[in-house]
This record gives sequence, structure tokens and C-alpha cells, in this order.
Amino acid sequence: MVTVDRGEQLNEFEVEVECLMEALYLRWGYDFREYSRASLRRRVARYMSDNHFQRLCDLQHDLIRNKKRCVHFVRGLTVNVTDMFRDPKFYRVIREQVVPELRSHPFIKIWHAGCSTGEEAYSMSILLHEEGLGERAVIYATDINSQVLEQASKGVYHEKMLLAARENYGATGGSNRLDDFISVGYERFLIDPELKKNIVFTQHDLVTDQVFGEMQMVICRNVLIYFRRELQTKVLTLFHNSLDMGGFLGLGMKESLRSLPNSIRYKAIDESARVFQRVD
Amino acid sequence: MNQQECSSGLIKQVELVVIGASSGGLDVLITLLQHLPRHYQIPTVAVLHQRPNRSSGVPEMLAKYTHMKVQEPEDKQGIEAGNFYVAPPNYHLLIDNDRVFSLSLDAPLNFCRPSIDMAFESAAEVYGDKLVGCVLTGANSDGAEGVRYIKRYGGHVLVQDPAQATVDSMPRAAIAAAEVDEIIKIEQIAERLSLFAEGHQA
Repeated sequence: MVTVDRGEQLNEFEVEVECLMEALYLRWGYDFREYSRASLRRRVARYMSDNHFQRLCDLQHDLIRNKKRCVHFVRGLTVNVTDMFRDPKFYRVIREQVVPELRSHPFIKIWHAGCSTGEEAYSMSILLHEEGLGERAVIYATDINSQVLEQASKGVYHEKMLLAARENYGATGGSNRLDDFISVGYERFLIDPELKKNIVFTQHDLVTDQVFGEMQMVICRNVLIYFRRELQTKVLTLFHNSLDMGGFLGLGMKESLRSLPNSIRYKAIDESARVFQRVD
Repeated sequence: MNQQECSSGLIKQVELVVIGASSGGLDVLITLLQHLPRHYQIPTVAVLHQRPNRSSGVPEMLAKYTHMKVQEPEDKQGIEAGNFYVAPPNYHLLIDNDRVFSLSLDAPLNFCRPSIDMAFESAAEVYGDKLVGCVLTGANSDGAEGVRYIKRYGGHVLVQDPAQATVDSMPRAAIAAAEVDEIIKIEQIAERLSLFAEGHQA
């Protein structure tokens, strides 16, 4: 039996993935070089099998020459599935502990980074409308992936997501019914167009693009888990520089501030819900 | 069957133990902990299929049976000796090159999230022949692919004796998938892991 001393040595596939990421960056400017390898490699392997590539070099050949392939591949690497009001506890903490502070602002700017297909951006919009802040809030919902943004801006979702959405909404402490904010039909549900008015969907790459200034809240949930620690540090610094003093930061339920540079401090509003406040 | 090979030091050093379990898994994990040294040193990761969307309470339950620090790891948390990690429900648990946990919300694999296969595979990629994988009771075939991977990278695989398993499909699938090192009862798995720990301290 062959025993492999792993050490620093990469196997063939691992080396090919490294080359592919370099090529993608050089050719199209998409920078996945600091993504967590454990999940990235699996997504590459998944993409290859879904799209019938036997060899990674064939995928690379096509990627370098074909912009459409690039867009499709980037979608494969980055798309994240989410739900309306995912992790109700998070929204409950926003409702009960963050909203009262937001009320003192005449104008509220929220950056939702990595919004994917938009479910959670709309969830926030619903919550703000319920709390009477809809009129003076803007949500900048961004993603690296232009295709999911297109889907997000439509605000149309499959009916099979509705059961979880209703259940989640109920657990956030809302005073209405989810159905007051959506219309259901043809196996789909549609977000009330009124709720879209204060959401701006726009493309933004956390790795290569700049800060969004003076936000009262930055939300980025289950995106950092796909990054290496160094990139997490960079992106958390980006968020910090985008936040007003006293602004709020919301992360995914298993994400932490462990990659934060020492110079930056946050106060935990609710540690278990991953809601933090900028204090310096 | 490979007892002599093990004790003669074919596996010189074990730096991580990963365990996959499904139906009936919690009870077996408790039995395992009862038979391991209370201060077991090799970091150990349990990937247990659980219901999603609720706090599991599993770490608290297991902590009663060991002095290891039992916890659900956060993303990018480092892997340390003396810790018993339980994969958080509804996330895939992976291990990155620099020996930190990396969580993922990618789609369930064969209806499983956490997927034992994914955890085994990524652990094998990082730990190579310094990895021990254990497949315990379970009602599906998750872990079988992963076992094949661990063997390819030179790791050691222990499978719970299907005759002892509450549900035997998962051990059986693992045995069918690769030439596993030992098929033994949970008490013996604990014994074997203890033996590896002696090598760990040396």
C-alpha cells in the first residue's frame, strides 16, 4: 500500500485547481485565490461532473477563451442557497435590539453583501417596513454573481420555499403574516413590489472592489465561510471601513470575528445570533 | 486483523480521528467516550447526522462522558489536542490545508448535511496517513466514498462490527467500498484509538 506523506505537497488535482484560479484571475479578473480550498475544490469537482468535463485542463482551456463559460463557472463557484428569514433568531435580534437604535437615524443605509438570490434582502426590507422604517431605509444588496442578482431583482421564488419562509417569519416576532408581503400563484410567490423600492441590487466583488461608505448596518451571512482567514481579515476590515461609528455587523450563525485585525473592536449585541456593533 | 501491524508502529503517528455516525450514533458515541481515556489527546471529530434547524444539544450530552473539551467548531477554528468536535447540524464540516475547520452550506450530498464523505475526504487530503477514520452505525451509505479516500491517502479505517451496529447499512457500505483495516466492536475501537494516542504522545 502506498502511503502518502502529505506535508506541503499538493496532488495533481490540487495543483490544477491552483493553476485554474490563477488563470481565471489573469484572464477575467475574478479572484478566488484566497478562497478556502476545502470547499473550492469540491465546487470545482462538482462543476466538472455537472458539466461533463473529464479533465480540468479542458475546463481551463474553455474558461480562458469563453466569457460565457467564465460567467457560468463563477456562478457555479459562488451561488449560495438561502431562505427568507434564514435563522429567525438573527432577525429577532435585529428587530428587538438593532431596530430601536436605527430609529434615531433620519436615513438608514444597509449593505447586504453576498445577497445571492435576494431572499434575505427582502426579509430585511419586510422587517424594516413592519417597524415603520421602510420609508427612510435603503438596502444595497450586492453579489459577485450578476446572474443571481438578476434573479434577486425579480423577487420571484418557488412555492416550495414558502413553508419554511412562513415558519421562519413566525419565529422572528413579526406582528403580521408573511402573506401580507407576498402574493402566491402559479407555484411561485412574488415579493410585494413596494418592498423592492428601497433595495438597490448591484454587482460587487468583496475581494477586488472597494468600501461602501457610512453604512448603519452591514450584513454578510455565510459568505466568509468560503474564504481563508487572510481574506476574512481583509473583508472584515472592508466592512469596518464601510460602517458608521456605532454601526451594526451581522454574520452567519457559525461565523465569527476571530479573523478580525487586533486594531478593530466590536461589541457583541448578541453573540449567539452573531450581531455586533462597531465601537471604535 | 491488523492488530500487530498497528502496535508495531506501521501507523507511526495519528494526528486526527474522524468518526461518521448516523441512526443510533449518539448512543454509540457515548459508549466510545466511556471507553476512551477521559483525557484523550488526539483531536477527534464526530460527524453525526442530525435534524437540521435546531440546536442539537449533542455536545452538552457527550461532555458528561469525557474530560475532553466537547464543542461544535466555528468556521476557521483551529484543530487542537484534547478536543472532541461535533459537526454543527446543517453545515458541511471540512478541513482546510492549514488544519482549520471550514464550514460550508453547499447542497446536501446524498441527502446528508453534514456529509460524512465530505468530511472524510477533506480530512484525508490534509492529514494523509496521519488520519484514522471510523464508521459507526447508520442507515445509509454516507462515509463509504470517504473511506475509500482515506485509504487512498494511506490513512487507517476502523468500522464498527455490523453485527453490533444498531443499523448496519453504513458499516456494511464502508466495508464494501474499500479494504478497511479493522471491523470491530465499539469497545475495541476505543481500545485501538487509545493505542494510537500512546503513539501520539511519544
